Amino acid sequence: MNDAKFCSLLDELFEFDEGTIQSSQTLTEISGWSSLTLVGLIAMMDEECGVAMPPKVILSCKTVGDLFAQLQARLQGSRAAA
Amino acid sequence: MAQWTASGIRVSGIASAVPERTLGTAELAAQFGADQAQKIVESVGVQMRRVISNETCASDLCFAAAEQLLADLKWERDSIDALIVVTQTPDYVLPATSCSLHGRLGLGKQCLAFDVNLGCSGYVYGLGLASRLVGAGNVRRALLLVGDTITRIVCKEDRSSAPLFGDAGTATALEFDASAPDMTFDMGTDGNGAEHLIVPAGAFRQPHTDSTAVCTERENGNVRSDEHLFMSGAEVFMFTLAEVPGVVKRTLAAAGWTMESTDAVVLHQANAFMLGHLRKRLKIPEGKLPVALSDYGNTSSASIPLAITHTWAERPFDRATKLVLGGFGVGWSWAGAAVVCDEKTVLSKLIIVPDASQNVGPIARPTAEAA
Repeated sequence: MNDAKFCSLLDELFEFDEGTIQSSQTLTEISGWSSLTLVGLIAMMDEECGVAMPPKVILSCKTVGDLFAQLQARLQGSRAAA
Repeated sequence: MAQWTASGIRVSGIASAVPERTLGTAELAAQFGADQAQKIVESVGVQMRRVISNETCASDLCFAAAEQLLADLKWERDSIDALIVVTQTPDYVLPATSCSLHGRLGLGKQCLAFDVNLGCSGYVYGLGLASRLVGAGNVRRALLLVGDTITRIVCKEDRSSAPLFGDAGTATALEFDASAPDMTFDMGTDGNGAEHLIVPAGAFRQPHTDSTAVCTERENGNVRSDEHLFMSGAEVFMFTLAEVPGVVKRTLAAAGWTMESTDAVVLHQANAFMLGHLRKRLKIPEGKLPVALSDYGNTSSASIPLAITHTWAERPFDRATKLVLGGFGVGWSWAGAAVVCDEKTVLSKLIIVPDASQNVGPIARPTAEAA
């Protein structure tokens, strides 16, 4: 998983054309952001990376890039634990 | 660890009752706009909800289910030694709904009766409790009545819960049978999740006041009062990911079953999106995970028995059928069960309860003289 792949998964989730979402974008200001897309986001990270990201952590991230950094930290954490 | 196997108890029959009134996507579009309504329906998988329209209580729906099931089974009322009612929408603060239903059903005085205050995990908890009662001493037959009218505590302007919930009441008959296959249970709790699925006011911690009943705008533009149900969908989803795969796997292992040897996994019908995700996570073959909420909505504690009567309505159990049941939600509370139904298990036809007709109204409302 890299930054570009993560953004393209978000494009898919929000039903945008590929390349719409940028990592500098403010997460909760993505057009169509709702409690449903928040659940979709948790499901996507669980499915793609096996990371169950708590909603509070997601909502504490300002940008798409911040969330990707959180995801990476958790992926590295689980690799270190294994 | 709350895990056990019970012998000598049979699921003799299950009946489900739903209110006559239906609400569909048109009502949803009128409330939230066509675009939103479409997105919600696609995600939660609820096309139509069964919703009470009057003062109907969960007990009225359970009563209708119980009457039908007792008639189908030809059980004498005084042959029932235990009545368990599972609901979070009781008739009264007190007495227990099980006591008022005991009276309405005309059960005998030798019958024990009590309520269990659990929601989405409650059906499996009720089965588990019944499994310890039936066969103990001379308790031979038990009636488990499980139902809720969650729509009465949901604000219809709350987009996070209003499109989801429906009302239903169910009855499950259990009896001692030395030849019945074992039933296995695994249960758990995480009370730290209480705040995420809660009706904050109206009981005793935060009693009703004029202000607790006032609807105001909350997160994401949702509107409700403190006496309405609050649900954080994201937290519920997170909890589900954390706990449900584990309880299903532990139940399978404790019963000595595998996913291959199991005929169906009947989970609490929370919403279609969540069920789809759990199916992938648990690698459940598509045909083995009934999704039966499209016509009813999420019916809380009643969703598992309702899913069973719905799914097997047209093709009753014609052989020993291994079911893994999984209830999970408000609490957080969860429970798994490995249960076998077979050709002796009676499934009553779905009961549609007409508005008000089954509702006997309050029991013995004291008169001025009596008070």
